[in-house]
This record gives sequence, structure tokens and C-alpha cells, in this order.
Amino acid sequence: MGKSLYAAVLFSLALMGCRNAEKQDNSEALTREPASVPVVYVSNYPLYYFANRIGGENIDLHFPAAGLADPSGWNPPADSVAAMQRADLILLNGASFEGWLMNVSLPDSLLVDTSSDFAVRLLPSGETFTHSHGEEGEHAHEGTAFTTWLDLSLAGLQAQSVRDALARTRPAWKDMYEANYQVLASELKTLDDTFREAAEAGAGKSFAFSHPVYQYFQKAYALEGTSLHWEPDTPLDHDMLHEISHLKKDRDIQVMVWESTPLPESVQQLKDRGIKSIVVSPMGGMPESGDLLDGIRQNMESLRAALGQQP
Amino acid sequence: MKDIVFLAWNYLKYHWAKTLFLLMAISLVIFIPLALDRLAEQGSEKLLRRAVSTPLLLGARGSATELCLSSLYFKSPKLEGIPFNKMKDLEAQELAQTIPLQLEYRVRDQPIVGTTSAYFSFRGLDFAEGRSMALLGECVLGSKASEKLNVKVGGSVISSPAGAFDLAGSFPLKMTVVGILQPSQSPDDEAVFTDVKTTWVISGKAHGHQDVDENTADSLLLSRSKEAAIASPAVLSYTEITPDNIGSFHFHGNPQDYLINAVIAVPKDKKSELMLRGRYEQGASDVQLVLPEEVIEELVDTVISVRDLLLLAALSIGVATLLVTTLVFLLSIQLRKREIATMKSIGAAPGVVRGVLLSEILMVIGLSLLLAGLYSLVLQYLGIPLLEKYI
Repeated sequence: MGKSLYAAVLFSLALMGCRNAEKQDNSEALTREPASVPVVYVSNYPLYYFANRIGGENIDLHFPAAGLADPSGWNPPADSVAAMQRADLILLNGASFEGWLMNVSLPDSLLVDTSSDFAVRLLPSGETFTHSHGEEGEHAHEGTAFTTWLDLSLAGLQAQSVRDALARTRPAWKDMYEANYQVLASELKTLDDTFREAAEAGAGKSFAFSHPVYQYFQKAYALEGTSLHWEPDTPLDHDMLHEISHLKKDRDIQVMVWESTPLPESVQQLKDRGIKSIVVSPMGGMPESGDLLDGIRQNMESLRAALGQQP
Repeated sequence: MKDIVFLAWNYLKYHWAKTLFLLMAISLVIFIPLALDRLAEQGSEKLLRRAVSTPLLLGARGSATELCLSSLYFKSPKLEGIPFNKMKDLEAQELAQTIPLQLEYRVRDQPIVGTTSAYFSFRGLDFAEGRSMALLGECVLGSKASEKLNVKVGGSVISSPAGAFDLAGSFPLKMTVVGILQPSQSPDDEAVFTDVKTTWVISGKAHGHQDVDENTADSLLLSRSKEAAIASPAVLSYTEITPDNIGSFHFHGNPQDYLINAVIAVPKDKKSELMLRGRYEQGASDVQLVLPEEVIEELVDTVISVRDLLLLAALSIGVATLLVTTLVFLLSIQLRKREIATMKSIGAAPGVVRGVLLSEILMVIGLSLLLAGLYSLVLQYLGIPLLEKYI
């Protein structure tokens, strides 16, 4: 009896020891704070730029869709997703930018939606998808516009979200991330103010936009206009010229905003109708030269030129 | 001495039937309490090990035991679902990392565990082959599931309907196997892991089919107009997710409202754990946050109480058997009076006679112990795996 009691006590102690060890192991597997730089993935170029400015040398930054001009159309291959599963952080633009998100297996704990803090300020894309299934009846889904960063005040909030996510991942480097963020935020604020001043001076002018990707840009800087579905590298056909002539007549369109440099003949055809062509790049993909702020400054110069202002 | 052993052994051999009965009776009396103790200990240890390594479980309000048994050991009792946003609520408190579990479906007898790749690192599961699921429609097999389903990486498995009368309720989805786990001697060996979103495809919440518009062939439409094209049942949903059709898969309703069965919560530290438990205990919520260790310990305590009762019964039977065996030996000596007299008359000393009888008893006890040892080995190599399978 004494022996069995002794054995039972020993067994219980051993079990308790095992329990504590296992519990610690499992918890540590998910909650430990590694000493190495965090591995960070981003889904578009503005986030890449923000993360790079804030994290600097202290993050291992990856932009798997860097090869695409428009990363919103990215379909991640399995290998990329497998690599992303091993990341410390995956920075998402949100606002429906990542159409691929529901088709991949990524732990929610790694995902950071950088536009979730201003969900109430998200805008509709203007495109509606109507369908019906079974007894639900017909219903419509309105898409959400995703080029949030073109409103530089929202871009600042996204940068803030990047800072917070990095600080949560590596609390020890919080001050460094904060300092880098402050410099970036100040630059974004300056550009935002300058944009607003430029746009205010051109108030009343009517714009046409080659694609419906400028919703936040239009709202932030009060640029009124109509969105079309024109490709910069496609020559204008009879229908397109007819459409723009009508817009000129009905809404007095004075400026056509293109995503990238249009064909010279298109520029001339619009000029013949009294419409200036300018390029305002959405900057969603990695630029061939310069960086995000250079691109935004170029956009501003284009806008100023269109509005007849001196650079 | 050699003569004594020779005589005792030959007596036992000659009366083999009586010897065999004695051996069976005594060996079983020794084996049964040992086996009961071993089984209960092994079962309890296994149950506890899994529970202790799972910090917290979130699930629908109801039986905490069922929540733990289903979430930890993938046992069949059907759990009430909770909306996915309950996991988001828990996550938003920033006190714990979360791992979803969707446990409604099966591939034949193997449970499908809808989760994320974080589950593998949480349980410390390594890959014997391949990788974690990355895209919708991919799955990873536990080592035993791979053997039982006879599928390797690159092969595929098909989810089974939830029941005989649920032919339309869940979606038989062909899933591509992209990884096989190393054996872990845990319920994970039996499971088919996939992303939680893939289980929503199985549930019918998400599906893919060819685009239907006003240009679709007449045979696939019930009606068409400028505003709408209404698909007929001839437009079939895809039963396999491939790189070509993955873009057509879409979710109906808000995925935040889709059901999962449980959430593993891994608190950042002890303080976070206590804060979370406090919040969920006080909140009049339709979910419960349980500490699996506590729940399974209660269950194990019940098992141990039952084991103690059974051990007591087995020991009582053992004592009774021992008494009967003693009686058998005493009666046997009475019946062998003539044999003993013959031994004495041919010159056997009284010590030799006692020696022969004692040797017989010792041989029977020794052989019984050997037999009990043999049973224990059989239990260890056949019984325990069966126990692991069914408990």
C-alpha cells in the first residue's frame, strides 16, 4: 500500500512536470519573441514603401507581386503562399485590394489590414455585381474602391497601421519604428497639404478619368469627373471619341487623367477637342524608377500643369 | 534436487488439463488488475497530455467535455457552431493568438480539420513530405490518415456527405494532398487538415461555377433578359478547385458569419490567460472559454475512480481465486495419498515428497507469472494501440 502510494505520488509529480513543460513548449511555439528581424510581406507598392521607410534595415521585407504593374490582379502561386505562412507579418491594403485573400490559407494572426481603422471612409468602386442564388433572391454587391493611398491623409493612416504592426511584432524596436514613421508622416502631410492647395486653385474644372481607380484621389482633393474604361495603350476608336465629345459637351471636360502615358495620337485627338491629357499614376505597383513620394510629386506636377499653375 | 524438479514437471505434464486451467486462472488473476491499471494510466496520460498542451478553447455554450473531446481528439459528437467573428472578437482583445477549428466533415472515417497553417506550428507537427496547404482545395494528411486512405502527396481525397440523408447538404469536394505529416502518436495522425475556408466550400457557403450571363448557352439557362440571366441546374458547381477555376470560387454572405466549431486560444502570458477567462466568465455570452486541462482532469478523475472500483473488484476476485487454488492444491494432496505412499515406500524421504509438491506449486505460479507477462506484452503492442484508436 505504502509502495503504491509512493508510486502514485511520483507518477503525479512526473505528470505535472511533463504538463508544465509541454504547456510552455506549445505556448512558446506561437508567442515567443524571436531576436531576428521580422519577415514582412506586403501586397502592394505603397505598403512596401511605408514598411521600408519605417522598418528600414530592421525588417526582412518581401513584395511577391513586385513584377506586376497592377498587384491588385495578383494570383499568388502556392509557393508564395507557403513562404508567406512563415512570415511574422503580412501587411494588406484591405478595401478589397487583395481579391486573392479568400483563396489562400494564411493564419489571421499574421494578417494586418492597414485600412481597417478607416473602414467608414472607404468608398464604393462604382461597379455593381448583381446575382441571385436559390431562395435568397436577386441581390447586388457594390464593390469597394481600393486605391486608398491616393488620398494622402489615408496613406498616412496606413503608414501608422504599418508602424503599429511592426511595433507589436518587435516591441523592443518600437522607438526606432516611431522615429522613422514620424519623418514619413511629416512628408506625407506636407504633400497632402500641397495637393489640397493645388486642387483648390483648380476648383470648378471638370475631369475625365481613364479608369475608375481615382475615387479617393477625387474625394480628397475635390476633383469632379467621370470615370471611363480606357487603356492608355489602346488607340481611341469612333465610340470612344463619340463618348468624350458628349462628355465635353455635357460636362465641359477639360482634363483627361491617364494611369500611364497615353499614345501620342490619343493625346492629340483629345487636344483637338480642347482636353488636356495628364498622367496621375496610381502607384500600386513597383515603379521603374524613383519611389512612391517621387511618383506622388510627379502626379502633383502633372495636376498643376493641367490646372495652369507654376511648379 | 534435479530429481525433485523432474518428478514435479512430469506430474504437471501428465495432468496437463488440470495444470492448464490452473495456469489460466492464476495468470488472469495477476494480469487483470495490472492491465486495468495500465490501461487507465495510459488513457489518462494520453488525454491529459493533449489537454495540457492546449491552453484555452473557445466554443459554443454547452458541454465543456464535448467541446474538449471534439476539439482535442476529433471525436464524433456534433458540436454547435459559432460564427467566425467570435474568433475575431477574441483576437481583437490582443491577449491571445487564435487558431480556428472546423470539425464537421470527414473523408470516409478520417476527420477533416479545417484550420490554418498555424495549427502545425502550435502542435509542433513536422512534415514527412510536402508542405502545408496554401490554396483553397489543398489538404495535408496525418500519417495514419495517409495509410488508411492510401494516398500520397499529389493524390487526392474526396470529402464524404455528412450523413446518409445529407446528399445535398454538404459538398463532395475533391481535395489535392500537398503534404503528409510525420507520426506524432496523437489524434493528428488520423486527421485530414485543410484550410477553414475549404471546409466552407464543403459546406456549400462558397462555390465555383462557370460564369453565367446573357451570352451563356440556352441549355444552361432558365431565362435570360438584358438585366439578368438565370442559371438552370445544368450549371454545375465545380467539384475540384484547380488553378484554372480557383478564381471563380466565391463566398455567399459574410464570411464573418460562417460557422466554425472551436477556437484554440494561445494567451501571450499567464496574466492574459486570466484576463481572458475572467472576461468570458463574466460576459453573458453565447460562447464559453474553457481550460481543457481542468475539463479533462475532471474526466480523468472519473476514469480513475472507476478504475479504483474495478481494481478493488479484481483484487477481491484475485483473493477468492487464490483461496480456491489453495483448496485445489490441498484436495490434490488428499487425492494423491496413494502416490505419496508409493514414493515413500520406494525410499523417498519426507523432504523429497514435500519438495515435489512445493516444486509443482512454484512451477505453476512461475508459469502463471510468465503467462501474465506475455498478456501484458500483447496488451502493450495490440491493446494500447486499440485504446488509442477508440478512446
